[in-house]
Amino acid sequence: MSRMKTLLVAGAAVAATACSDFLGGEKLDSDPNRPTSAQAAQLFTSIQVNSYYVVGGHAARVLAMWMQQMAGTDRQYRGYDQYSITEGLFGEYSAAYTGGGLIDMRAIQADAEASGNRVLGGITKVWEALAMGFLADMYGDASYSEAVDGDNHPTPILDPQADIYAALQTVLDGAISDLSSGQGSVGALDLSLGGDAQAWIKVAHTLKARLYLHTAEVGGTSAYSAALAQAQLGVSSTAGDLNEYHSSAAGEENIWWQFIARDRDSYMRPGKFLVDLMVARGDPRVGDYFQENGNGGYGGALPGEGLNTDIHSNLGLTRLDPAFAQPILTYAENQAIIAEAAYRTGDQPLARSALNALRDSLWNGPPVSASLSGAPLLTAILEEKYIALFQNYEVYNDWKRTCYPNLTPANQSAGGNIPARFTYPVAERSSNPDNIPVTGAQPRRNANDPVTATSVDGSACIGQKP
Amino acid sequence: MRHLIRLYTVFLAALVAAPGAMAQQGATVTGKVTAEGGAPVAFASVVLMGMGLGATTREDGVFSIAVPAARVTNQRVDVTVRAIGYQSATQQATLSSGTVTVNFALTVNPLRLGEVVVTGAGTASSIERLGAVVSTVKSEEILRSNELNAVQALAAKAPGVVVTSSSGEAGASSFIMIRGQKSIEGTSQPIFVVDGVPVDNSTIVTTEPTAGTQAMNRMADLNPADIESVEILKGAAAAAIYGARAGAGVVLITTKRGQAGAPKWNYRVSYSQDEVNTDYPLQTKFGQGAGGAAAVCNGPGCRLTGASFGPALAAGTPTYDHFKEMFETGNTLDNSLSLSGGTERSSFYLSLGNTNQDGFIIADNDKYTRTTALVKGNLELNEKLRIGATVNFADTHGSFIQKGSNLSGLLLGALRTPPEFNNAEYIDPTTGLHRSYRYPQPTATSQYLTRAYDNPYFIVHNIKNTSDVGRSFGNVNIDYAALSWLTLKYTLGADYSSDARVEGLPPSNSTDPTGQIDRANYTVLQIDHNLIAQAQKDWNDWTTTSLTVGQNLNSRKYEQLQVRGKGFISPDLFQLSNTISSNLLPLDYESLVHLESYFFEGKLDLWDQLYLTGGVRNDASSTFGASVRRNWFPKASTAWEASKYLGIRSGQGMLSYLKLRAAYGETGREPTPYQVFSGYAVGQFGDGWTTGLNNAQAGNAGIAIAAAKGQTRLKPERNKEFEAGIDLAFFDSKVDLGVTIYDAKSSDVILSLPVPPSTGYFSQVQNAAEMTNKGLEIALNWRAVTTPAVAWTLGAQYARNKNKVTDLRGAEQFYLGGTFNGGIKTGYAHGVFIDWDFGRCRYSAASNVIDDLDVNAACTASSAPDGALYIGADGFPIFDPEPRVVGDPNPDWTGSLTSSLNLWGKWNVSALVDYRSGGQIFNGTKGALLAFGAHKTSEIRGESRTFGKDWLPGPTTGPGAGQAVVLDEDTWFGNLGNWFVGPGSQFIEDGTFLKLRELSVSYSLTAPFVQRAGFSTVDIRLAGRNLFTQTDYTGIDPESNLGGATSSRGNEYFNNPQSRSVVLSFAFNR
Repeated sequence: MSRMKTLLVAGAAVAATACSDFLGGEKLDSDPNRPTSAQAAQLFTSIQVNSYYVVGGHAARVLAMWMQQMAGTDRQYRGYDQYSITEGLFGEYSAAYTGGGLIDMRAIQADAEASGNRVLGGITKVWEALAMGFLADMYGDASYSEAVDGDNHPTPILDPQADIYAALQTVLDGAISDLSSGQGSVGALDLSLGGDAQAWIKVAHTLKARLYLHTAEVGGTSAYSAALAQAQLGVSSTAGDLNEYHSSAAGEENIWWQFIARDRDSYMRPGKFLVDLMVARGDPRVGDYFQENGNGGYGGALPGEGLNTDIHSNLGLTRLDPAFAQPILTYAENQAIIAEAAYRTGDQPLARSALNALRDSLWNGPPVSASLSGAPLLTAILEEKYIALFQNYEVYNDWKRTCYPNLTPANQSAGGNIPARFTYPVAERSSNPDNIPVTGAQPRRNANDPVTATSVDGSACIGQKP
Repeated sequence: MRHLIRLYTVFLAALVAAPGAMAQQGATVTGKVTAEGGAPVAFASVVLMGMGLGATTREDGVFSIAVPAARVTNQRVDVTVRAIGYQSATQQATLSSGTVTVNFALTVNPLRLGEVVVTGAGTASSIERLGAVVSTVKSEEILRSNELNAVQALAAKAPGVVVTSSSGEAGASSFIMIRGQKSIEGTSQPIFVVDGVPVDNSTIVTTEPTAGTQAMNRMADLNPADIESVEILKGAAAAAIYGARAGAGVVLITTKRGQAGAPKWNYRVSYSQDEVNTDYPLQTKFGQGAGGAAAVCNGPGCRLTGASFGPALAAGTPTYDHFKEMFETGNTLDNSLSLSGGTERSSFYLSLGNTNQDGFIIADNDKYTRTTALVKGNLELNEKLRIGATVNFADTHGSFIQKGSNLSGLLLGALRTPPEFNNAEYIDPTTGLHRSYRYPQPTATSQYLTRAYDNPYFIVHNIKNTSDVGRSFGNVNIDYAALSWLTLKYTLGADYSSDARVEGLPPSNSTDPTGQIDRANYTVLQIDHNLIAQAQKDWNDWTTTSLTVGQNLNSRKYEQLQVRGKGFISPDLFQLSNTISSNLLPLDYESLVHLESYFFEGKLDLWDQLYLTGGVRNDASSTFGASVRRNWFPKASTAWEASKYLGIRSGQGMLSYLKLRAAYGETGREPTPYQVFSGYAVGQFGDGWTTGLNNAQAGNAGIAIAAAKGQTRLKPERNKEFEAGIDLAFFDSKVDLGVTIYDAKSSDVILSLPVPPSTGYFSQVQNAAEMTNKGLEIALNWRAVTTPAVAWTLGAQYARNKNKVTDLRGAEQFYLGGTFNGGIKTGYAHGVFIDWDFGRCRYSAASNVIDDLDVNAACTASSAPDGALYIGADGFPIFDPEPRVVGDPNPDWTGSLTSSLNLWGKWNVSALVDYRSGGQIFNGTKGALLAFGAHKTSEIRGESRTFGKDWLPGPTTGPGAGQAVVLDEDTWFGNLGNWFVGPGSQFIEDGTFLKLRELSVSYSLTAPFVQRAGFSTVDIRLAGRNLFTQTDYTGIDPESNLGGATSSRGNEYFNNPQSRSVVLSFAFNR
């Protein structure tokens, strides 16, 4: 009897405690900490911010150093300025695809298509072309046709750089068509241009022109012609510039301001080459671009030179401002493209007038002499562009193509050589080894960028090697 | 009905006996229990067999058992004494009125044969039956360590158990690891079980492990004085009864309990002085500046270089020791009081503890206080039913100092300071604002500007980091002896803690000059239900079986309410409401885990010498993928007392004991919650160099797809381990030896396996990795002298563990959290340093062509050996851009030696020496300080050296080999010779050390005046903790770790250092 009782008691205790759903229920069946779905509008903010970091973050800073517009004056940045770079240095490749990158851009486009918001889809396609174009510029071949489709393509192949450029022209054509449809709107969700579809159409054309230019070193005159045609439809006033959105609110500050004014005070200062160039030509923007140094003048740092605040100016307060809207694609660049492409296709008068428009728009610069022509005209265009696009990665694309300015690399005597491309990040190489070669086996130059033997002024190009 | 009859009978008997009983007095059985050397044996249990009466001995070894007159019939009774570590002894005594004295001199029981230890989940076993090693640490060993942290007190106490304090600061966490690393993303720390209930030992950092401050590990809430014993279940076979929670082993803690007998009390007070245990080599010859030119401040607001590459300081320039000046003599006052007692059927234990530590960093913001209470009661309701309850309470307060890779970190700011700058003047006399060596003259409006690095005096005085913890854990338990052969045991336990944190950096700090505050509350609640039924049957003389079946339900809830505010309104008010409200950043998180388990264990004892154990546990957890929810964890072990078979009389003869054992088991580790789900993330974008941009901008909401893709088929990590060993005693048990080998394979190890970012995700967790741990553990004890007046015992322990990562499912390598370069790579040990190196012969992958220089061709041409340093034409080595494994933080072996000398029962002198062979350290502090010209090594700037000879000695090759070069800022220290620009490999150092962990002298005072004052004994102890360290390591300490209690080990980057202490304690016993 008591044995039975014992067993009953034990059985009841087990039954009472082992409820069948002990492993299920609130906070067990789902993650209470994360959203499980997203609206296109929410993703749209993220893709803009992430794109700022892809084209205007660490890579843009390092490129500004290599282009000697800036100089590394402390710690790791001194090394980067002297081309002491490692495989893991540029994470932009990863950022361009992941959260805020292509995967979310594609989700927005799918959503926009389903909901008929073609303006949203069109703007997103321009951002896609900007980010993917950046990867093609810097890394050359990149994953695109199989990207962000992990279920079907867990290890995406690399598409040839030329194919990506071609595909992006199609994407931008689609964007222009969407933006022209008048269907849908984004309004204030568009941080840069307030949802102005017409302005975005012009941005898309300017981006098409920029990408054609990137193919011109190999493609020759026809690429310049295509660039000219697109630029003539491009951004037509500084009001239509595509700029980053920033404010002085926490988490919205200009990235350069974050780096220099807040987070990495001593790492970078303006480069001696640019400062000297602007001082020499009496450029009135010198006070916008630079602060006075400790001696009350303007001075820049040589590549990798240790910081000396007596000599080295800091970035000017116009640009060293948490709310400074960092330019991405501008009227100035568009005019520079028109000028160069016109020159390259034999229309020097158009080249001069576009150059004059550029000078006038940015610094009320007087027109150049009507007799300016030939190599000096081209040099003048590229010089104006080099200064106008201060801090923009496009300066590096131009240099690769033209060897202007004819920079003397850091540590030239020791064989220093300005890198011709980025290596793929470790994250991609180690997880996609069948498609991404090890660093040593990667090409040293991209397909669109053969060595430029002579700079535009005819002198032997110093900084480019096979 | 039967009870009534019995009661009636007793009543009648009492009546009948009454006249005699009145005449006769009760008896008191008293005596003293001593060991070899005359030392009293405290906490020995003394029982009058068959009478249900007993007591425990006091600190002086004396016991006293009162026997009611009614039960004193001049009968003979057996008096039996049991004490951990001694052979039990029985003497006969005749019970008659008055005092009956029975003294015992116990002999040690070297292998603790016959003693019962808890083996988890309500099970217990006698030691000789164990097929898998269970290491026991006794309360005296815990007390003698003088550690405030119960985990740290286990350091060097058991072979294969590695315990490391993350720093010597007040309230610092300790890390414990058993038999090597078994997980990559999870902790390699064991679970802790107190009185049968799993409890929390997490270490939660407020901000990030490589910066921020120390955090307490939660077991520090337990007063070490309350610990009766600690059983460490090391291998999978021993720990398998805890299934999916036991992959890293189990630490079972039993707290003290009351015993029948008169109430006893014990008061212990100890005072210690703590100081930093090292110096730091800083250069004192060159001042602030760059390129040999002095940094000159041209007026308020000047910003100066961080470097000390200025001109040589003029003779007589005062310089400062920027390391030593940050430290003072700290002190700790520890009080504990316990009261215990009981009757035949009930017992209680009550303890109060208070610890007050003012740490060794200057100023008063490094503190740790802990107040604890423990109440335990047990009641035998009747012969079948016993109930008990325990409540532990702790009120803990910590105050910490910022450390590590952190612009507001103590040593980062301190050690980078040029020698001539006086940090002590940290307030500018003109403006009253914070000044630092890089911003020496703050302008009146610079309240919200960065100081580049905070002045360390500002860090210790003005930054507030606190942790206020309320903790309560305990259990209720019921034992019901349902039948003669069947017992039911039920334990319901709970553990709750609430930790309120503040990490507040007032304006002008360099992390966020506008002021930044994190306020957080971490709440942990664990409820554990454990029900078992145990059956036992003796089938015949030589066959005994026992079976245990059990159910365990466990619920763990974690809630983190954390908000970061930026932009202080008032400069010194540490409140979120004192920040600009639009700058609040919420960092909240919660998780809930449920585990439902069933387990079975069967034992078979044959011929009283062969013991077989088998069992299995089935676990289902909410953290497992739904399709793989139930997982089995089997075990089997056997132990054979061969000495019985050989006819050896236990404990005697040349070979006095021999036992062989072998065991196999499997354990697991649960995934962290919610890894099975995919989702979106709200937060920030960044490039690693800037604070970042929110993904919500201009009032527009923003979210992005999460970096990790969910894994719906996630299983627990699995550790399969085989162990075998032998326990021996020699020379009449004067020497005993235990040797264990083990071979463990961890599979299904969870890895955030990187997926190509071009797929849109960075990672997806997988049960992907495999690693092995193989090891050897030896414990040897020698009772060298065992006379009645003198006992001298020597002990040695040795352990080696070889870890190897055998599979990462194709992934090349991973970096661990809490470190700069600790990583995981196939074919190497867990946590190896993966960093860059100089170009070397045949070390680099692929072609080994670096910057157009064909290194291997030069090596072949000069017949240079593998690894020879390639020296470029300029006489300097070159940077190899391909990272590789450059060091291993895992020790080759660890060992310890103990010595304990007892004299005349009053004196005890004991020592514990801890040794670690190998185990490399990444000296990132040095790597950084060289870049600033602050490290002593950089004092030779301007002098000539030759690589391979008197600089980075070793074989060299290349066009510049043998060429002397001038090492100065530009060519070397500000260049490849530091870690910011150059490779990390040059800062990997050997971490071998020898530490004198414990040294103590104690005297037990039993003089008549002590007795007259009402005490049995007063024990006086003078002890040293970590008094001496011998190491070639040039950094702060080979034991410190940047990430604290994280599984990445051996990282130093401006860590706060370790301490050494002298402790004086008095124990008053009654």
